[in-house]
Amino acid sequence: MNNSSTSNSEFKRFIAKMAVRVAILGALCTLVFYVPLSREYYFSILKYSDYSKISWIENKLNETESLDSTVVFVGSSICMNGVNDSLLNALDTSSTQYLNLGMTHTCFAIIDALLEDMLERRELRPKKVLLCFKGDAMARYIHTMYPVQATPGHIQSSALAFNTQYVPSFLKRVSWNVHALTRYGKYIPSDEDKEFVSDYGFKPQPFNTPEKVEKSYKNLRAGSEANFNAIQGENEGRMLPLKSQVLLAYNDVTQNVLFQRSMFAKSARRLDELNIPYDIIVYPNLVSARMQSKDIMANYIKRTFTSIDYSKHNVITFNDTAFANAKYYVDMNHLNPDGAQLLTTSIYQELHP
Amino acid sequence: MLFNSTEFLFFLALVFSVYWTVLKNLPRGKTWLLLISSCIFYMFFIPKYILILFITILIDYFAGIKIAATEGRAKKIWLIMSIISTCMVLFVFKYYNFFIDNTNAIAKLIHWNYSLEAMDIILPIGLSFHTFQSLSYVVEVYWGKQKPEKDFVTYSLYVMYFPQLVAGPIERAANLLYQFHAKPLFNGALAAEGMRQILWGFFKKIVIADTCAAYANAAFNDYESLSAISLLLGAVAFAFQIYGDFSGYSDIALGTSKLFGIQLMRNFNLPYFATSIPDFWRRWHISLSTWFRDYVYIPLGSSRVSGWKFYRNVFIIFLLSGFWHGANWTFIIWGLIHAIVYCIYFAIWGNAKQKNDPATTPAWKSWIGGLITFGVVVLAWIFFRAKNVQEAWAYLHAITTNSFSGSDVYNFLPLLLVLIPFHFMEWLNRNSNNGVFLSSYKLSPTVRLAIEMIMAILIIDCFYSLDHEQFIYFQF
Repeated sequence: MNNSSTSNSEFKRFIAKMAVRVAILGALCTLVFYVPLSREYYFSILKYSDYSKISWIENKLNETESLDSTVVFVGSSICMNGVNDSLLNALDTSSTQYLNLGMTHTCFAIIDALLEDMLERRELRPKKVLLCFKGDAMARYIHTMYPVQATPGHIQSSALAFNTQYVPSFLKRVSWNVHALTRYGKYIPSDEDKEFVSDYGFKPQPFNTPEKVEKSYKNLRAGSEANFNAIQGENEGRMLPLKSQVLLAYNDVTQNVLFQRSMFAKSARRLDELNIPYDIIVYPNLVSARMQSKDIMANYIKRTFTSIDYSKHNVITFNDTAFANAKYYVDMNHLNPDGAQLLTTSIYQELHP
Repeated sequence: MLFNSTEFLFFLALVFSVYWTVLKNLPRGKTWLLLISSCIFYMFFIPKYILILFITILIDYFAGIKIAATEGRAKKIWLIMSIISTCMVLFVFKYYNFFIDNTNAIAKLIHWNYSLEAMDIILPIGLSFHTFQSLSYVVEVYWGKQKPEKDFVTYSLYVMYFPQLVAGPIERAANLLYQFHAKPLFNGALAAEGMRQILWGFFKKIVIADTCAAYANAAFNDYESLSAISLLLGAVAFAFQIYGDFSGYSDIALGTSKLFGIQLMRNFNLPYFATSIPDFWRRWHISLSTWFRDYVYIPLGSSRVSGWKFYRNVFIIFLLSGFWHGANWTFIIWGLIHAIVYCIYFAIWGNAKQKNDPATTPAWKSWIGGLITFGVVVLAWIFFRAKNVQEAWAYLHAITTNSFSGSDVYNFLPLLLVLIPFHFMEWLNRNSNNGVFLSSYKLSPTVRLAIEMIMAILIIDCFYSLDHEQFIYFQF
């Protein structure tokens, strides 16, 4: 036998050995992935973090016996900072209650996981659900805490919905399960200031000067307008330039947008199957308000989610030119308490024409 | 491209597969593949900086050939030209702003209305490493110890070889070039050892260094209000962070290289088990300390010179070593502390003590020596970690003046749950000649597999549940 063939057989043996190790590690990770740890553990991870609202939602739902007369808002921080549920409860003198379950970051996978928990595990039936859509762009990144908040089943099923971040999501869940043992050796700062404490789900943002908001707008305007134009282009059947397509695909945006779409559609289907009324709110931001094309995102939603019956479910947009004024914002996307009051009043009027 | 990224794992798997399958009978193709891969690896940071690297390579390549082909004054001129051009790049990118800041400060001090503009540039990644590697090549050729490399592709690969491109080990031409010329045959045992070394490297970086980083960052960010014990633990955490980070990187580099059948020099040998400062420097960043030994210390006369010249040499070496790490007074003071303690050691025990066999040294002496050495090393690390000299002094001042203990200590004590087992693991590794965990033990395959799996699971745990720190030595 010459050196070359020895080398060949050694290479094959090496690859086989590595394959066995990868398979064993995969099996081990799968076992750890399914370890049934308490929900308290997962939500305690988030309690003093930037994602503290997720823990608050868990506790709120634990305390809730019924949502039969409650209108529930789900969505991202634009919902959390934009819908003052306390004000809505004050405005509405009927028995209807309002609850803001918005959380930081735009991701339809985590929203669907929340709906699954609320509707199927807890069997709560809200009077109405208001789904959230950002005014100028589609969700394009999976939530960092999706693997903590979602159940193993939800994570597994996300693979079938073409979650390109499935492997990291799976491994993150594994990681947090191992963390239950290893956390005793890690430095875990407990920043109690970050805990979300409130009777309502609305988180008012601090005020910012309009000059600073304009500066932020100036810095980020080009990118946001490009997103907005891409949405408009997609409505009109136009293709993005090849360079943009490659860049978006490379950064996993294109793939993730497809996954996010399927998650949003899944949530809508889930609500339809349970006969729970729902509408979609397109939240204003500076770019969409200033481009004065409120229908672009609504058209995008109608064109993309064709399985939704739009005669039953409204896509709510806002025409008020006040939303183009920087004095209502803390940055390009998020409303300050005055802006939230304006939006909340507008929502109330939409819901009670 | 960072070693601790999924991109790198895919990149490595692809290069490894093509190297041993498509190009298995094409040695020249393998050299090209490694070079192209190295270019891609480097261009993941700032693509245009590859041009700087290319120019440096070009100059030193031709300088090497010219140095070998000429004699006397011409030979020296080629050497000087090569050293100046290589060091010029280093100066401009790494030291120019430091030089300008200090010149301006001196000008202000003497009321001279003089000010130079600092440059707004980003340091090319790993610049100090490949600069020193290039310098060692031309000097070796000048001394006649190394034949000039005629093949430009192979020489470029010597400078750019991706496993050690951005953070070493700083290789010598004599160790690397002949391996690039050899016809590579796959060695299963070496590749398996490489994989184990990569795993051990990731463990040190992700599990140990990143865990310690959280403690160190907490201490250094809030030193004014923490108690003395927490600050001491924070400094110890940084000592292990930088060790896990840099030796972890080196292990990944060595292991990666073994997958291609190429062996790099060992860069760390249990430095926190050193019983003296000279011993520490025989174990820490070996490729840099031997570089300074061979190209600066020995030419200056090393320890063969008498009296003050020896101490001068020691100070030169350590100040240069500090300055090599970065253009900041903190690094220079770090080097100075080591130089002072090295000289004190030499003044008390002389050179003979350094040659003593550790096996014959009483255990209690080793323990005391080890503890004192570790204390000095940790003290010096405070300067290394601090943003500036004022912060380092303030940290030290806080250790002596803040309350000795407080409730914050409970946040820092869990560090020991990581460090004590890790130090024990390192101790188990004391007889290993390649630094790979448990390589000196005969274990059953099942036990070894179980240990590897536990390490892999812990890596996954810390990779996703901790904030990641970039490799500290990438900035040098």
